[in-house]
Amino acid sequence: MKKYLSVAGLFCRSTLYKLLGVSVLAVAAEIIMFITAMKTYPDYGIELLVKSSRTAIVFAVWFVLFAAILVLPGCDFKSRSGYTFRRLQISEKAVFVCQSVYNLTAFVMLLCMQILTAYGLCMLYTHLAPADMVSGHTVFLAFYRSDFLHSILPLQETVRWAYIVMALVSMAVCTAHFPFMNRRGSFGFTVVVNTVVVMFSFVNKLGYFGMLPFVTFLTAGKALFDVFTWEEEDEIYENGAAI
Amino acid sequence: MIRIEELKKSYGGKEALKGVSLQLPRGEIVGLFGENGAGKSTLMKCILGFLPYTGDITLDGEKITRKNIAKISFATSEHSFFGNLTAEGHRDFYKEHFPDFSDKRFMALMDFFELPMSKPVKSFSTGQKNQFEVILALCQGADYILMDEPFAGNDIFNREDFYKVLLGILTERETVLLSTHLIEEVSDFIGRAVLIRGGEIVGDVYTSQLEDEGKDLITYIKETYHYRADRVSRALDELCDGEV
Repeated sequence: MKKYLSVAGLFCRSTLYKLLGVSVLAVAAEIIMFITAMKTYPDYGIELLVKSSRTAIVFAVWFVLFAAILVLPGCDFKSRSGYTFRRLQISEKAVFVCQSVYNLTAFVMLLCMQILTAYGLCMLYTHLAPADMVSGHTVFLAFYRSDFLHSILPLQETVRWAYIVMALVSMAVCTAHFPFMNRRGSFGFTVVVNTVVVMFSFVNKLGYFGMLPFVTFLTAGKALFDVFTWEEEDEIYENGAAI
Repeated sequence: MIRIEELKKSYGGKEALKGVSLQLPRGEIVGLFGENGAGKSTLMKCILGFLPYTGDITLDGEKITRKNIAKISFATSEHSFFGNLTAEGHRDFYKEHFPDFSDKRFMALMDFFELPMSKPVKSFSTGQKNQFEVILALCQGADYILMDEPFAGNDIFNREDFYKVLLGILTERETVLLSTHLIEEVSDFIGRAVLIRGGEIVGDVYTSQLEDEGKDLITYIKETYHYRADRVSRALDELCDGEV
């Protein structure tokens, strides 16, 4: 088990500070843009403020940067780290699973940070807005009325929760698929397709899901198919390289 | 012992290795020499199992698989480390995956070459990266250390240091297979020279044997390759219409 954790730790050490740095900048940008919007439009409710402060765009950029950072470890760009992976006692498929699990954790953390930031901004609004614009249900209702807020925290809309889980798992798998294919001289395009689709389809109206589930399912399926049907590795490392 | 029998490898239709047979017993320092494209790197990658091949390669009588691959380490000028990770991070990672990793040797070599422990390896200079690559290969605890042009980009003083350190630290159970173009530099350091040309072993000699014959390594290599000393002057002569 320690060997698997060690591989996950390798990816964590290579990306953690970058992910944290990007997150700090994104949260700061969202706070600044929300406060600016509050000053510019003092009579707006939360939903309109969230929309006019472009929080969804910041989240989209934040998301893309996460994907870009997570995709790099394990690639054979400046050094052939694949040579080391192939000499480990665990298989490269296991390395792929470790990277996927780590990436999933990172994407879940991203969503949690976004939810906390959005909730914090809503609480800020309830403190700063005129008393006649705020009630005990203001924040709760905002998470139903605002497309962005509802998309990141769908409350009782179970189907959207399933969507979110599917999107995050798919992104985790596809970001691990890219370095796996890169080490074999191929281009793991699934992460590009998936990132673009999730970026444009993640935020949607209540009850509408667009093409997100279909594409994420396909891309994750393609990534898993590529990795687990790759026979070269088994041939070489389980039975010796002779053909 | 690494035993290679009738090893063949083709890229597309081109044969890179044409039935290579070679034995690498424990405790030898072997130089692998040949022109670019002779098959040196391909041979090493076949031993490591990075490339599929036909023929037979065994390590102490067994096929090389994930179970015994830790007995072989690899240092390459392409570098196999993780650029974003620090030297300290590499040490922790290697200790987990290679049970015989020598922490003592690692710290001593890092100290000797004055490499930083807490900086990402990608921030190292080319020479430092090469040093670090070799350090990892030497400290893995492997019995067979394969080095493919490990010093490309290091200055002469640095390379000299490395040869001396290698001679000082290697134990009797460790075998080094060193591929390099720096023949003269390593001639005092290696105990055996293997010459490869066009995917075939064309020469295999112990340096002690050469000494007995009163020959140096360069002469042996030139003789084996049928090197024509007048080749350059004749070419220049033709190019300049006999004015040289």
